[in-house]
Amino acid sequence: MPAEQTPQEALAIVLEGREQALEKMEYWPWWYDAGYAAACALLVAGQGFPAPIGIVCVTVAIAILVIIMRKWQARTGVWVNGYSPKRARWAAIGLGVILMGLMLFSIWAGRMQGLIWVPLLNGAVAAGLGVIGMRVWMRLYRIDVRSMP
Amino acid sequence: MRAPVFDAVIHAPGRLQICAMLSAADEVEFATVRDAIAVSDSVLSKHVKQLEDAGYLKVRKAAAGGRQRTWLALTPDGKTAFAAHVSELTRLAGIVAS
Repeated sequence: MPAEQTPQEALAIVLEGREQALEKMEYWPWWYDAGYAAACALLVAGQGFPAPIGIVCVTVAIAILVIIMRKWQARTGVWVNGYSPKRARWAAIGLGVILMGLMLFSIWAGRMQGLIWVPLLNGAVAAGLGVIGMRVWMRLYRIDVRSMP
Repeated sequence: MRAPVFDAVIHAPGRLQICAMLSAADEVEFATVRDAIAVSDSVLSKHVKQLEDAGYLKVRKAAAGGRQRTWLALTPDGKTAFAAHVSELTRLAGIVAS
C-alpha cells in the first residue's frame, strides 16, 4: 500500500468509484420509459390476438427493447443486466413472472373467450407495471451495490 | 465476504478506482472511466493492459452510432480478487481504528 494512503482512504476511493458508476445510471429519459412501457404492453397484449398479430407484437417489442437499451448504454457509458445482483435479480424475476401471468391471461381471454378488451387492458397494466418495476429494480440495485463488502 | 488478500495490481493508484467502478456495473465504457478518474487515454490504456494481463479485466470493442466504443468489464477472477482486496482493506482499516 502506498505509504501516503491509509486503508480508510483506499476504501473511500472504492466507494467513490462505485458511486460514480451508479451516478451514470441515474438517467431516465422519457423515451426509455415510453419504449419500455410500449414493449411490455405489446408483449402482453399481443398474446390475446391471433398468432400472426402476436408474432408481430413480440417482434416489435423486442426491437424496441434492443433500441432503447443500446441508446441508454451509449448515453450513459455503463451497462448492467437485470439478473446479476442479488436483490435486484428478484425484482426482475418478479416482474417477469407477473408479465408472464398477464400474457397467459391475455391468451385465455382474447383467444379462448373472445374478450379482446382484456388483452388491451392487460397491456396497459403491463406498461405501468413495467415502468414501476424498472424503478424498483434500480432502487434495489443501488442497495445491492452500496451493501457490497 | 471473501478471504482478505492484498492485491498490488488492483491497489495501484487509478486501478483501485477503475475496479471499483467496474464492480458496480457489468460493463463501463472506456471514455466514461477515463473521465471519472481524470486521466488521459494513454494512462488509462496502461492501467487496462495491466489489469488485462493479470486476468482481471476484459475488453470488448463494439461499433455504435458510427464509431468504435471500447467496453471494460471485470472477469470472474477480477471480481474475486477485487472483493478479496476490499476485504483486506476493511480488515486493515479495522486494525488502524482499534
